[in-house]
Amino acid sequence: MRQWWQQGSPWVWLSASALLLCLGLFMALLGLIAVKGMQHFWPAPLVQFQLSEQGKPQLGRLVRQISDRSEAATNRLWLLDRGDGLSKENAESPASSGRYLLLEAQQLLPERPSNAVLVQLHDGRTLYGTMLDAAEVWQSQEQAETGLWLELASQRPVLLPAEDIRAYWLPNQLSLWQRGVVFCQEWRHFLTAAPSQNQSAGGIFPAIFGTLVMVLLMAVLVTPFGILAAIYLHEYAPKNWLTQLIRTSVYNLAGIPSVVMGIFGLAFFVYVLGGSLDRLFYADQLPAPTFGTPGLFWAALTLALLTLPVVIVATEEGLSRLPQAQRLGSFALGATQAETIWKVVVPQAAPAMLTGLILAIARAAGEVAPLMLVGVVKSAPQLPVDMQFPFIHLERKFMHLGYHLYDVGFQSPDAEVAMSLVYAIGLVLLTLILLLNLSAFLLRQRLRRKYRLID
Amino acid sequence: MQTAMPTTMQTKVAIRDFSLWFQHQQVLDSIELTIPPNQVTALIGPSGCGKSSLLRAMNRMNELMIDCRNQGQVLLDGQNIYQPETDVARLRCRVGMVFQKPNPFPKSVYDNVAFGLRLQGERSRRRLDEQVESALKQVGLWSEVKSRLHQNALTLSTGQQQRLVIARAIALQPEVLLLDEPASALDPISTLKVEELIYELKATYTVVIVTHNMQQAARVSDYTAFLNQGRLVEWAATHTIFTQPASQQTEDYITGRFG
Amino acid sequence: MWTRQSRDCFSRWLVTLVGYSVLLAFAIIFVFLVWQVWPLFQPASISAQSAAESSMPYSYQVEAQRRQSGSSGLLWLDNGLDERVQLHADGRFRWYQRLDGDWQLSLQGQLALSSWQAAVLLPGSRTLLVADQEALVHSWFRLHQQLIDRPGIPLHQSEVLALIPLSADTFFSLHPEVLHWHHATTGKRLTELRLSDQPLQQLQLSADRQRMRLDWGAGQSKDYQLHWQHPAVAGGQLWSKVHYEGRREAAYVWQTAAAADDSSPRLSLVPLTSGTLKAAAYAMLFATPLAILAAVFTAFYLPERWRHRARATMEMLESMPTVILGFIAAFLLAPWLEQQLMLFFVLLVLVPAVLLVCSGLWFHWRQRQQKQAEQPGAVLVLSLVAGILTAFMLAPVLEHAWFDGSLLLWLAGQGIDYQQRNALIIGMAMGLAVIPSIFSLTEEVVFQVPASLTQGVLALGASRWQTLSSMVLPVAAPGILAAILLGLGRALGETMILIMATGNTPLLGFDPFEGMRTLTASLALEMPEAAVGSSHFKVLLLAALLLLVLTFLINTLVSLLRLRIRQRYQQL
Repeated sequence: MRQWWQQGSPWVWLSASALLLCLGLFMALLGLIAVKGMQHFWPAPLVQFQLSEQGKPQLGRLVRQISDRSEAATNRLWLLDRGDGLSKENAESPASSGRYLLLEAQQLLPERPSNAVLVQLHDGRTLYGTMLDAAEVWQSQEQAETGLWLELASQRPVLLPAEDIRAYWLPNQLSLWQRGVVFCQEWRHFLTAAPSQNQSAGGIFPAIFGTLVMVLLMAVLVTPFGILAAIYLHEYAPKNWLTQLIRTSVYNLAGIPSVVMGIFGLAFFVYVLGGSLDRLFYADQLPAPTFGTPGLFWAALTLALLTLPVVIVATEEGLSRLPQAQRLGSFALGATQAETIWKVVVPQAAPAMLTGLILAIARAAGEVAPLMLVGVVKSAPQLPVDMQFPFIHLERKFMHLGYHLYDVGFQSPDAEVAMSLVYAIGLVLLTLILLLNLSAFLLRQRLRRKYRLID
Repeated sequence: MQTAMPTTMQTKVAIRDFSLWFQHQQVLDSIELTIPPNQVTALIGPSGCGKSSLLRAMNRMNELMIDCRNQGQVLLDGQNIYQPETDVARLRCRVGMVFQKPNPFPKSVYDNVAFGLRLQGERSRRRLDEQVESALKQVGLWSEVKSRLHQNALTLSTGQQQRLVIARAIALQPEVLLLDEPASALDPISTLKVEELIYELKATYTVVIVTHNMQQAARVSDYTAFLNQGRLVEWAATHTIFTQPASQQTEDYITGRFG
Repeated sequence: MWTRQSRDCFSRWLVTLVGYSVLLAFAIIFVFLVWQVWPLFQPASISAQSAAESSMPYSYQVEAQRRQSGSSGLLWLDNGLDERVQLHADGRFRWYQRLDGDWQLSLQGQLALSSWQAAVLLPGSRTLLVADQEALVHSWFRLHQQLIDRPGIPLHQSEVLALIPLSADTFFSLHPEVLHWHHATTGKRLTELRLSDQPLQQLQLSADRQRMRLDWGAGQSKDYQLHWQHPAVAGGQLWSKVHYEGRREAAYVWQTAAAADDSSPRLSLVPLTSGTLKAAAYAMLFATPLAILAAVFTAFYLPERWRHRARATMEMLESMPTVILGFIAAFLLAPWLEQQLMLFFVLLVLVPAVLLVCSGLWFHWRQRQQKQAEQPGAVLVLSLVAGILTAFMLAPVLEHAWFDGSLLLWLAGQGIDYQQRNALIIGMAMGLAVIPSIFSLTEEVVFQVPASLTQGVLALGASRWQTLSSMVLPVAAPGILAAILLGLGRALGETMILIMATGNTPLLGFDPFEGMRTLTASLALEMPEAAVGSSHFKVLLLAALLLLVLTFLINTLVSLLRLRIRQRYQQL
């Protein structure tokens, strides 16, 4: 026992399991988001349920099982999604008029009708119903419109005009392959369409686009600045207190909380700089502000300031790994310092700069707090880039993936719809950021190998 | 300091009362040295004696180190290169330098040799071709690399790389060529090639070589200077130094009793 | 003309300029915030001004008021809105309130003093101020059918000519030869104005209450400018307890949206700062042991290839957007923890216990076999899984046995309020965000400990852990401290997780089952709505400055420690 303690065996065990736990939690988190995000698009079968013994069977989608522990015994309930097809008049009681319903297991019916159909409308609503044979209905109604005859929770068949329908499928009779096709189509729609219905349905294209435009603009702003600053620190700066001060301010800039940077962006860039710009160039439009209000440019500028240290540190690391012999060789051939830097050093350190840039982009893509202050909105009527002169509208507000996630998750009236959508958004955001980081990582590995070869 | 030199000899580089400090440490102490033109001068001495610093003093490469200070003069054709109005880049074109380890740029063989020429503003493709070819021929590399001029220089062997960086230096047609232990990183065969090359180069250039290797100094140089602890101990024609050194220190060193 | 020299020169200038501008950028952030926040701490002041033609709408007859109260022993006070008080000379009062256009008596009684010199009802508020004979202004306000006593406001002179209301929370007290300006809520004296010995007839105020005219009668009058941009802060509310009108006791209050009877925001930074500290503390509590243990193991025990992989994974984890962590915490972790609180605690205790027991058994067994007892491998994974499974099985049983089936109900019975979004959630979610920062730096400093040191100790026959604890960790200690500080800096500045998973209620205290509102969350949520230049806006900027200074100190300390450890390694 004494020996066990003295040799540190318990500590080894604890530290090893700490590592396992950290990595395990991370992996579990990734897995969870991936699975839940994917689930959002998977065409799961529809089930039938009855609200009462005599009640008419209705269609719905099982969301998840909930264990209710409020009473002494644990009660397993199903959360069921009835779609948006419900209207007030056909709801059984005001209490059960919501889209989501908690059911006991015995209320579910075992059979899954094969003509159950899931209809996605252009306005973002999702309907679950029974598809009726058009010919049958036409006989009774004697009219021939193009569209889909559907029996919803209400008794009477409804005609959905074809132009309202975005897509529909019969989830209970799809083969695995067909499910895959629907899954891919829904993904495509999600990535390319605009959101609808209070953000809680539809796609996220404007958010992806806004994120990309903002990030690219930020990259344009931060790259030259960060690279030049790193070159100064590594190639030109004399070893004195001033350089030390600059270095310290780079580290401290990296440590500033992003929200403080957002505050600075709002108070200084937007109100002070933007306000002066408005007074100087857009005086005719005052008091309606043009640049004196949060917008794309200020967001990019704020994030550029935030990610500046990332670029500087990565670039400087690359510069310091470049063998000194390369510089000496260039000097010995009569090159000036500028020629040495621009013709020998920078081309060889370029991958390091690219690494820094990618890391900066990854950081910027994941930041939300500063953007909430300097230009992101929940729903932007126009994209920041379009065919109107001057094509890039720096003063416009824009949508952003991270903020969209926050907004859908927290401001949405319908938490359940939002939940699965949020996982999907999170999956997109996470994929984007992890890919960026992974490429930065691989690039850095390659560069290190290359330098080892030169030296 | 004991020097026994003919007073009538010609001078390419003259070092006059030259001292050098890195930070607070004195590296060179009042060096007096004359480098004759079209001859090979070897600098020898134990490690840390300042021979490389003396070499770098001749094209002002020491300045690239932090916190370096010097005193005295280095005259190139009678002009003090430490005058403030000296164009350092121009100076380094006139005084080329090759380092201990080959340091080709990760560019093509051709671009490596043409690098200095392009800096000088040479744009004509034809003239560049000619000068690259002639530089490579001078170092005897032409036949080996002419088929792969546009391959990355890092694919060459170390010996080839070292001859390439010599070609890179002489493509600028310098007057003086400084070689800092050019063969220390090479295998015996490559070393031999480089030594032959140095022997040929002295027809065109004034060569100063720093070496650790006594035999090498004896083989390739015409004059030898022996430095110890930042001071020039002895400077004479090579055969004199190796056969009848004037100072005891020199004798101890060349016979391998210290160093 | 571009010569080579001029190009070289230009390049040097350009690069140097950019290099310096980094310093400039940092300085600008700092100076700008200080410059913006500065007016908050400007004391109120009164300065003389040339007389303006316009008449001022609010006027107070000093003599008339005294005569009225002196002659009839009865004074009518009015807050200009919906409250009226009839005050007798002996301290009896009747308090009327206007409801639906009618004045109704809502309260009557006797004030706790027998005589008084002057009284006033502050405009737009329910606060009654009465100056007694002993240089004290008593302060009461009506809360429903009750009169709440607030701490008195000390005066500097016992003879009071009049109390003159200026705003809902400031007033003048006029004494012979001097006019004092007080803050009613905090009782602080803002400033004073010396007057001539002539009796003052009338005091007039402009509509915006930025100008004042003193009238001594006989055409003798003088105008003054009143400077009081941020009275809500000038009284020292930021860091001290204040008894606000409408509350039963003094408290630290952060309440920016003005309620119906409020006239100014209540800006105490104490709840926000304590929220930030609490969140950071719980996150560090969760992250520090995990991250340091994991890092030490990675650096000292893992083979090179696995070390690289662990580091790379941690780097990925570091880049995880916190908005995702926050959302997971709020929507997944919080409901789960509410359901499985017992399981959480059982896991917390049982998993380390099972690990220790297994480690002991394994050690014993290996020793019996005369083998080395290090690098447990698969056995460890198994016992970890076993520990977790046992906890899952044991938790419901224990909950039934000890807490009648529900820990939550039991807690409620003990008077402990469990909020779904609480400090434990934050500890876990933000801990996960902080772990990579601590891990990376710790791993680096432990790994870089010179091999000569460790080999020396190992050669003396110590086990790897003994080497680690007796030599490596003490040498690397400053670096590990730097890592913890780095994590702390990150935790203090984190925003999204805190917005999403704290509940955002400004509460005091370190209760693990309660939420909090942090500085960062307030900044992100309130800044877009704060009017530019208002006290609220400036106090938010002050909060930002506070965070900036805090992280600046931490970061500077971190770089100093890193410098120190680098020097230490070079010496060895």
